Amino acid sequence: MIEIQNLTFTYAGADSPAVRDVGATAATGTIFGLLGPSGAGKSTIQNILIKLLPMQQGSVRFDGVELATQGREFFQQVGVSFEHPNLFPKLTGLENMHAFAGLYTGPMRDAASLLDSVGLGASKDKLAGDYSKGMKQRLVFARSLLHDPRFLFLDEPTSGLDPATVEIIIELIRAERDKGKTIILTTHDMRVADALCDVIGLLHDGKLVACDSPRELKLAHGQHAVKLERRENGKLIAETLFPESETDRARLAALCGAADFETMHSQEATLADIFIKLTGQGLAA
Amino acid sequence: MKAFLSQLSLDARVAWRGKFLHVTLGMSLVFALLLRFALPAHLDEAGAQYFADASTAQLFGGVGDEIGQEAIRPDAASVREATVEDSSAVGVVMRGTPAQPGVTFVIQGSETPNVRGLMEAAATKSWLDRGTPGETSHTLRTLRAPQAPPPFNQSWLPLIFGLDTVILGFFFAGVMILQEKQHGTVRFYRVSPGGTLRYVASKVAVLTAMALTGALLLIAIVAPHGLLIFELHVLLILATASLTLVGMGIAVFYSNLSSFFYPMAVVGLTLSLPMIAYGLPAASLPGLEFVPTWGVMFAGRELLFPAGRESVVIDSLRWLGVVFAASSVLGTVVIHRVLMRERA
Repeated sequence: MIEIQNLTFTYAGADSPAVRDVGATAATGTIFGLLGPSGAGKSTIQNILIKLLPMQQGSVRFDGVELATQGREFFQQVGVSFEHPNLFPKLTGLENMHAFAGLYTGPMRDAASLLDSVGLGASKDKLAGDYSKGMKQRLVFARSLLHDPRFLFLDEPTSGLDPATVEIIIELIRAERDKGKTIILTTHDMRVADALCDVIGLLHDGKLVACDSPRELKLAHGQHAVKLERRENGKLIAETLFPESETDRARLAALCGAADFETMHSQEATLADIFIKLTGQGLAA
Repeated sequence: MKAFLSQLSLDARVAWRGKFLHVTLGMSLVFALLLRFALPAHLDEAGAQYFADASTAQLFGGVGDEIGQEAIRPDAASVREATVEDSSAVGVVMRGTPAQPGVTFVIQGSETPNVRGLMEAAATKSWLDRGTPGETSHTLRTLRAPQAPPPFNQSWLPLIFGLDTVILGFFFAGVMILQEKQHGTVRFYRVSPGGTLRYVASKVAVLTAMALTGALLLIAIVAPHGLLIFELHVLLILATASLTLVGMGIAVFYSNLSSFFYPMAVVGLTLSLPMIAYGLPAASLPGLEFVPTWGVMFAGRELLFPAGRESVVIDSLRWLGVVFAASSVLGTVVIHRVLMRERA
């Protein structure tokens, strides 16, 4: 479990904090997503959590142990997949994995199998410098799992990947979660966050503006309505019906009974809608 | 220990794939072939000379115009001091009176009888040219036991140690750090359990071993007897490790090779300065002995071709020990504070 309390951080020379009084908890065996546009403070929070930035104010505890008291051995328990792949270009994919493994003590997962699982089995003996961006991303992701860490920090793990590979990576991340790992996922891709995260923290201008499961966020901020499309005299007509209204419920039942509609959608909000509603800005901002 | 060996293996592999060792050995080979086959072992050239007019009549005021003012010393003691410093030089001190002319030669001990005869003849003629009737008396003061001068080509070897072995350590250390910054692999170390000390120690060990390999290749081809001189190995290890640490410590402040070029040029030039003293001792600058490559050149020469100046070796080893200790501490602190942390 990772507990964050009153986290505040200001970069040297900056007028205002990059992170303001953030508090959240990522339970063991869950995926906690930090969602927000560029500059919202996602990377700053992640960098504090992995000790790349010093703690200025607030407190962070990993399984009850204060982060500030942890030495280098802390990194035995932490796996990090950076957004920008950091690899040795003149080493092969497999050599990169072995180079990383050599820096850790304790049991390691099989490097070749991990490469296979992310679809790099056939390219493991190719120089990492010759990999495409997506292949590098997958290699960095596989590398972060090599020492079987209890805490995983994934920064845009699906960036630059094709849809089929995104699905593979999503499944792998879920599998790690199911093994009991605590995962912090940093992304601005609402679809990935929606598909993966058990809890999402929406960040705006360094503040956590909302924090809950995707379902609860949608229910709390979406419209409780159903939108139907049907044809009348060849013309497409859209109707939005609210189940709270007795009239609308009767109308909905009638239309459903007669199967007099072409499409029917519940009107819960997307994460992007919620973000706009809460901040007045889009996620891609 | 296992983790350090893994780090060592990783750095060695990166250096190998980056062709660092190829460049080191290639340059060593080029220099070795040049010294071994292109330069002659013996060269007929007049060495430097230092001159003082200690005669009563002071008849030799114009000699500076003939042999160069830098060779003129005020008295016999200064001539001796300068000749001790420059193992290729001879000293000439004119003394006596026009009626009883004399000259004292301060020599290294490696001069051939032929050279000594020429010196005596030249001194006698100088007195005669000034109208002295008397027979000139000659006195020889030999600084060291008679010895054979080092072969001309081999005498360049210590210079190559300073200009190639040690400076390459500095350059490669900088290049390695900048490549890691550029590829982002520094972040990979920042979130690994290794820590700064292992990171620094591994790189220093790999680059020093690589530089030493190049130096040993040079020695094996040019002056094989040097392979058995333990102090020479210590000297090269201390100097190369120190400059590797300096290279790493400076490179952390730069983001790419083009911006690193300027400090590289300044340091490279500074490290090359002792070359002046090596080739032309009379033109040596004060304080040059504190430049690490000075010790490598002069103590290296003394170790390879002993001339009775053991103090040069001891002083150089001592100073390089201090430089190594200081650069280890400073380099590690700078890398820890600047490279191993994100900008906050």
